[in-house]
Amino acid sequence: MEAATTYTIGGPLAMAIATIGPGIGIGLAAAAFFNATARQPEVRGPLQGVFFAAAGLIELMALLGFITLFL
Amino acid sequence: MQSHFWEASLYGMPVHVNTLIMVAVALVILLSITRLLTSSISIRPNRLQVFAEMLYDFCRSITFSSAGKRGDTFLYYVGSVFFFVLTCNLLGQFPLKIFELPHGELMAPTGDINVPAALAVGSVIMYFFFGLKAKGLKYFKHYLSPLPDLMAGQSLPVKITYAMFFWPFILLNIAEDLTRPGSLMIRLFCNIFVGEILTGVAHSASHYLLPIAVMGIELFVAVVQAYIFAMLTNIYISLLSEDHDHHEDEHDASHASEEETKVPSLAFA
Repeated sequence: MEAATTYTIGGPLAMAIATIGPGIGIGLAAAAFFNATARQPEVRGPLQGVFFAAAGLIELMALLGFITLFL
Repeated sequence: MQSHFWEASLYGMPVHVNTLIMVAVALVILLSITRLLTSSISIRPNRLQVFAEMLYDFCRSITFSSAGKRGDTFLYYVGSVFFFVLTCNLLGQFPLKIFELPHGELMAPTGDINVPAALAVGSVIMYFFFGLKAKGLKYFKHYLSPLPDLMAGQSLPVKITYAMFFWPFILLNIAEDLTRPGSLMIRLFCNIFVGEILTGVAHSASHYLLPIAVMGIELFVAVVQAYIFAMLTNIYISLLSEDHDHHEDEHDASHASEEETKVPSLAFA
């Protein structure tokens, strides 16, 4: 009973907290990407790949939070 | 969790038959499309050939962005990984529930952790292979990574002090060989698996419009995850097969970036 309660409250709460940091991180990366594209539109193509790679690296933090749901 | 897979035993090893079926389907689709696109290659290209060249150019833009012309040596692996992961991800969006299996159900093969794990191990093998091919035994020097640069031209006591303070970096560099495939695997698996769960949750909330919106997001995620997997594999390979003694490579890379800005990029999103 108690274990079930811990899972239903604690797991999703951990997931929710884990998404805060990556949210801020990807937001900052996207802001920098938009700034750079606005200043120099021709740099969009090369930057796009780097942006997605960086977003993927940051995203891992949230996904590790998701993994803790099953532990 | 158990009910999602159709487990069978092959020489004492458990295998997931539904994942194997989907991987086989993905391979059949990929091979037949490749066969179709390259069936009539000529100097005057027809539409199929132009499309095939577009796909090739897209893969080449991935390797070109970080490695320049040197990237053509591992283009075949990065491109294959991109299209395989893309096909596997997109297969999950088909209405697979209409096929009845004895156990479990069909889903995107990358939603089973074994397929991303195999791909991640493949990436590690490839970056070891290309690193050793480009640098020989000097490849293992990168495990000492900050030390040789710091020690260059220093006296012996300073060198010993550096070694005392920076030896944990060697452990970190060795651990990187485990965290790289681990992060590649978890990133791909979680994104696709979460997509399946999210579609189910949306379906339980509303039967009509909501799942369609989630599946639209899933299409985007499928392409982006395939791109990220190929991009990171390419970055690891090009980083570790880079020879610091030859500076022509950097020259090539700078030229490549210039070309890249001139040619309109094949933006997908």
